[in-house]
Amino acid sequence: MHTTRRLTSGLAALSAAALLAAGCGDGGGDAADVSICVGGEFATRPDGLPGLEEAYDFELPADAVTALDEDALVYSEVDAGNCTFGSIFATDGRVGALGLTVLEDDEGFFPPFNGSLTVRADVLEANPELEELFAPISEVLDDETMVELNAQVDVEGEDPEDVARAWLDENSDLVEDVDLSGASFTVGSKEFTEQLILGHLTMLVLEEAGADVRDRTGLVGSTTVREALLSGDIDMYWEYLGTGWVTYLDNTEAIPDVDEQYEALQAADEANGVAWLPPAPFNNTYAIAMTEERADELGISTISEMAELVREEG
Amino acid sequence: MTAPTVDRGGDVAGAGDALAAEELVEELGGPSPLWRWVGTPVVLAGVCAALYVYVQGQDLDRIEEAALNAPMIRQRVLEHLELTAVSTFFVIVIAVPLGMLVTRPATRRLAPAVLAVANVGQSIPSIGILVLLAVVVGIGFEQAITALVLYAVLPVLRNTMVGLDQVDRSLIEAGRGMGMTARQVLLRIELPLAVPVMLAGIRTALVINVGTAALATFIGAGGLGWIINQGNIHDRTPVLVTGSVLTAVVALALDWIAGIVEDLLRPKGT
Repeated sequence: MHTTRRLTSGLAALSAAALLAAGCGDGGGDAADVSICVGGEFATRPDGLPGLEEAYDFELPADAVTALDEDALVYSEVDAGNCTFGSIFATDGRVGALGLTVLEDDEGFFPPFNGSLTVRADVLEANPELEELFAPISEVLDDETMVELNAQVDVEGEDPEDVARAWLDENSDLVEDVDLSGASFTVGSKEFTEQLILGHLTMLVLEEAGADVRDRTGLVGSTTVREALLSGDIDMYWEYLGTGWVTYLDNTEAIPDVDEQYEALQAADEANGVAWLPPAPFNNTYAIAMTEERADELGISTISEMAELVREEG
Repeated sequence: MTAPTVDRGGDVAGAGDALAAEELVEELGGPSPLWRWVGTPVVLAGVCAALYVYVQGQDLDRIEEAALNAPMIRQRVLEHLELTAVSTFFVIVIAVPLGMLVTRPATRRLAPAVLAVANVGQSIPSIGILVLLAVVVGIGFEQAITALVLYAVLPVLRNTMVGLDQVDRSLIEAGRGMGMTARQVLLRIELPLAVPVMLAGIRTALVINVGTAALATFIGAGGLGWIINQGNIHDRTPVLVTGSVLTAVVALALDWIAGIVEDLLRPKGT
């Protein structure tokens, strides 16, 4: 019958299209040895991939690099086996949860990325108690603590503000008896989990001291937040030493020692009207990770070994 | 001849208005064919030259250089063209047969349902479709193509339906009268006469795809959207300007090519 013939020819066309679409490109889980997934900023930042390639003397072919603008996707893609290597953050909760292994930065390329609360110099001058208020809290924020807090959000699905509040409740003895009533501050943060937790933590602490707080957390992009600080749209946010030194102050050489790095940064950023409070112990450095299976398979545990692999097979 | 604009309200009479508009433009003395054929590429070449001069004149820092070097730009442009070409191909392959199917007397009642699905495909924000696909299926080129196809099916489907529906009934009857089968009537009378309207829809889908393909970067499929996003997250104006201008140039260039194809494929006598 005509109708049936029409329908079948139509369906045939649709199925052919579907098959073609499915056939295009490779399926998942079968990545070439030399394939890396990188996050949005890591792809072009001088303290990211371009600098890494220079320091370790390797060059990835264009088709070996998958640029994922969503950092979160890097973890799932490496875990799924769609890329062998991935650019990750050292204090991210998913590294442990997914059983990823982090490659050793044996050439010491990555600068220290310890977290430090950056405050506009004029705001700090007007409210010197801020330093006293945040020092004891900053001191206890080590890698383990940050990984645990991040995991609560990224792995267990908790809300960053709730996580910050719960942690503050448990550690309320760390909040100094400082009076900031009458003062008002705008707190910013970047868009990823650790930043959101730190941003909310900062706001909760300020509120405990009696200050009025405006929430400007979750801004997208490091540069956006930094510009907001410089222009006065926000008064403070948590930044990382390495990011400040290499990306904002445009230095080519990282300073491996945390204290030296901090001092140099403090001195240099004075000119921009930005003050850095003493850094916390946690170092949320960029790192390269891979699944444990692939690491064993390829016998790679350092970035130098990865560089060698790229030179041989890239 | 300009394409009928995509009428989001679902008004199938859009094509009729557009044809009347075309006649009006011709009466008023619209752009001469020569200007249309030569003018656009000349202007686009000029824009590209100006962009090149602008970028060369900037003192690019390391982040900008990492995003704006020749190999990277070439890679992203090619990725973008690939995304657009493949998705438009599948849009045609899916929407044209579907349009033919739902204009046949026997299956006409399927039309509202099919149109509803196509409408939904275009109403959902593309970024939403991309995120859903990323979560459910995964990321990559195929997922980007799926999202692009879903988004651009509507104009081609509707224009195919309108094009076929507006063929003069008497011509179809004449064909049947001459002893043609229904299939012969479809292929030899209806389709050729529907081609101008169908091509207009395809041209619209093509340009829509170029714009939507800029979002493919968010699920790892690259394209010019990657350059735009780099300019955005790093707050680097030259990068943002380059990505945006190149996307616009690609859209206009493809539209120009489609216009020429439209002119060439238009059956003589329409």
